[in-house]
Amino acid sequence: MAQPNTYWLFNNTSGDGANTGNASGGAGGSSSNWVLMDLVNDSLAWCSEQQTDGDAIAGTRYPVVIPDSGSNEAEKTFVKDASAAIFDQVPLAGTTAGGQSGGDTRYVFAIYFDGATAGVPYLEAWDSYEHSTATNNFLGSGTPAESSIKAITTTNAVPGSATWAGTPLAGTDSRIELDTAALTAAKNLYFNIKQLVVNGTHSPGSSTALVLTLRYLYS
Amino acid sequence: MKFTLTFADGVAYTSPDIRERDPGWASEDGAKRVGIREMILRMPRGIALILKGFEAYNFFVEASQALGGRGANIDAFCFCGRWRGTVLSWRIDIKTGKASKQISQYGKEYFGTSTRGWRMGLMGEKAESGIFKIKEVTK
Repeated sequence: MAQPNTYWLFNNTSGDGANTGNASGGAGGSSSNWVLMDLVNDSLAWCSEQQTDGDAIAGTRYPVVIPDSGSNEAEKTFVKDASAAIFDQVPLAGTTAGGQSGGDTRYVFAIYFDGATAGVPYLEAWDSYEHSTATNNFLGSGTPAESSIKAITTTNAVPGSATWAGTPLAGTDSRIELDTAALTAAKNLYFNIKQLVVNGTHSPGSSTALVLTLRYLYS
Repeated sequence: MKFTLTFADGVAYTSPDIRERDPGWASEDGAKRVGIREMILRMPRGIALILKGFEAYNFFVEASQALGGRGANIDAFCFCGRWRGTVLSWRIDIKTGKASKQISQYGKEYFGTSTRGWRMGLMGEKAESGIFKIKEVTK
């Protein structure tokens, strides 16, 4: 059980199918297509409906709008693909409250482990890759329950609701377990994620330092 | 940093550097050996973490990998001893160098979740654990 290699992938189609290509991605089940992420140079971007799949990264960025009252789920989710220099859409991300094809779907983001682990892997969100604080306004300003980033594990089943609430992500205080037990062999772990901005809680602005973090054990 | 296991028959095993990709706990072939009597991690400045007398032992490395980061990092080393359904865990944080101790129910030893890789210790012993200053004897 030496340290496993891990690979982050996303499905850039509306086909809700498994990542059968494992570390390489590519065509998967149900006409899905899995793209391997560059963890250093790629990033997630939540945008308004004006952003279009394939837009150039160098072009206009259309941010999520904080509503006058209540909350608003990001209409579209993208991976900013550094090598292709485009916004690559993740159509199944989020819920039906957003503007994509998300909802009660299972195969949206994947993390492939090529070996076993000694414990349950976690997905977390932090202010930066230093992993020392999780107090950014978008992570709830120190109140994890108010984090705008919400995720749900779909490794073993669909969320069970097209408007799943998810777990707010903020440091180790509020995070999701990506499976129910330690991995005994290579496996794909799946999750979905959304951003929900709330009037009065989240402030206009952006952060390029926030990170999603995978935490895992090996021996 | 290396840990040493001493088995009931007196045989000792010293791990590779636990900062390597294979820290040696799972790959060490202890299947034919009797139970672990003692586990020691030697740290800088003559400090050692010692666990002895437990019914079972576990060791694992905690790593993290960030989207927007710089590859996988080792965050902590964890040493666990199980005795009568209770687990004593030591977590050594790499960044701060601090060791923290936690007692939990077996099956909830890592932030409320279970871990795998437990290896047999000895039954009926007095379980002890602590961080000690080791006096090196030189000739």
